[in-house]
Amino acid sequence: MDYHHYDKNDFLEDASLLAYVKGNDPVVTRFWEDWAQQQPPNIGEFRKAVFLLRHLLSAERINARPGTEQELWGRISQTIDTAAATPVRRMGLRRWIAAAAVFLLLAGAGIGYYIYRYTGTQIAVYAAYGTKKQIILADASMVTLNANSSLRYARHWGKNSVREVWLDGEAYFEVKHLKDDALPLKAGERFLVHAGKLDIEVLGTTFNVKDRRGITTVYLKNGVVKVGTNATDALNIQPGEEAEYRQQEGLLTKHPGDAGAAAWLDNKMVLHNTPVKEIVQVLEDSYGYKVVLTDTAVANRKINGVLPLKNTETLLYILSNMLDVDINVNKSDSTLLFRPGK
Amino acid sequence: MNELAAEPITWWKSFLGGDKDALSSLYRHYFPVLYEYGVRLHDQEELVKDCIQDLFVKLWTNRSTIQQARDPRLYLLIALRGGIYNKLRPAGIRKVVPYEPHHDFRLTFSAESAYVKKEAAGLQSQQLLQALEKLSARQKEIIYLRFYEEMEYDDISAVMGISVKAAYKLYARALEALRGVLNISMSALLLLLAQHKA
Repeated sequence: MDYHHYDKNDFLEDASLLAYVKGNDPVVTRFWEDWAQQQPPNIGEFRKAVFLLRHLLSAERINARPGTEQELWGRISQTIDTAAATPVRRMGLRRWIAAAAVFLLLAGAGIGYYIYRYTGTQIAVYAAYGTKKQIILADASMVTLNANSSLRYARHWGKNSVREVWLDGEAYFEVKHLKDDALPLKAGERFLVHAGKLDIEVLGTTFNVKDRRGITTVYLKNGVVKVGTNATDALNIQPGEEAEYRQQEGLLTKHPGDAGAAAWLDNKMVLHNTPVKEIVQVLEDSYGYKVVLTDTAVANRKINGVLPLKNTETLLYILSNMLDVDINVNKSDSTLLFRPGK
Repeated sequence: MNELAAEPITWWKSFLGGDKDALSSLYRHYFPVLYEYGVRLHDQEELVKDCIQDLFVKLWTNRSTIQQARDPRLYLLIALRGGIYNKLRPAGIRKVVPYEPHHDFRLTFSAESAYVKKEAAGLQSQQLLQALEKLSARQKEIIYLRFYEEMEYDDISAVMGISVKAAYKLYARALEALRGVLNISMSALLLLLAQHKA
């Protein structure tokens, strides 16, 4: 592209120059810095455009408070689920009366069944940012829900029905083993976790499930579990192993797991050469912060050790010392600004 | 830059086929954009949230009659703007008229921005920021859609409910209003830079 004949207005219309001013693509930044270095004849027009763009872009972006997105989706989802899909048709009065009579007969039974099926039996529990929740299921299995995660499950399970729960986020499962004979597996002995696109089937075991940002991982502590999706073959994983499903690629793999996967239960995060960006993801996913790194090289630095998660202030203090960065907390929009230290 | 990401289009297709997870993915993907645009149009957060809720509930309940969207973001922005207008319209008026004149479009240009701080030009910056602040609500809106959301003029015109020609004109007028300030302050600035170099 020959930019030498551009005037201010041409520059203003140029997507690449806009990307340069926004500064989020190092290749583009290099290009324009080199270009300006050559002192082209229209450098004045270029400067004017950059000067104007920097001011045009100076308004602060507006973000919703953490949790707003989740809360509003809860409202939408509930409205969708409860709105009985009744098509509206125009009817004459007589048909209305007939319909009303039939409706009255059916309503009692119908509403009763509806309440039983959808409201009486289903429970959804949400653990807010920075909190954990412990849930005991009807079969005495125990689930610990990590921050910003939710679990949907039935209040009661029939003797012959599969125990089934739906997870959004991260949780640690201690599933009660109900199989006590050598007979073929019965439905009531199965326990099924749905997380993202992944189905995790177990008998009685202890394991951690994490479903964040399109990647679902299952770390197994005891027992045997089988994981699979509609589109992939199922995998069996052994204690100490971790299964990982990447939603975007549709790929299910297993590899030796990290025993620190469930350290969040003890309010800790165990780091073995862990890139800073993974810690940033935890701050965002579990605490609802929005993290801004002024020096993006920090994201790829790897650190070792144990981070205490219980107290956010302590956590940030330790992080700022380990990484030698200043961390500014903006309480109004929950932004953490990481800046290189002195 | 009009990159149409493949993923949202796939989600759109799936939700039309009755996949609620796909609707959820669309929601999560576009919530920040819709929220920001909504509260810039209208200052009451709760009303904006209600409008976003209505929008997604309607998408779901009307999915049998909705078409595949060429550009989901564009579709959602247009629908949200219409929804906010409908909520604010005095009760009883059923005629749909363009959403204007609105009281304000919230876009506060700031000397505290990291962008502005890159320009070490205090007085010039101040003059330009003052001129920007005086732009009309619609001029601010077009600047927001053009430079923050990086939309093309034909899409901007669709969102704002005006012709493409009118969109160009609106933008040109905004630049015109800034030109005086920019020319004076830029020549001063360039002079300053030259002296600095010498």
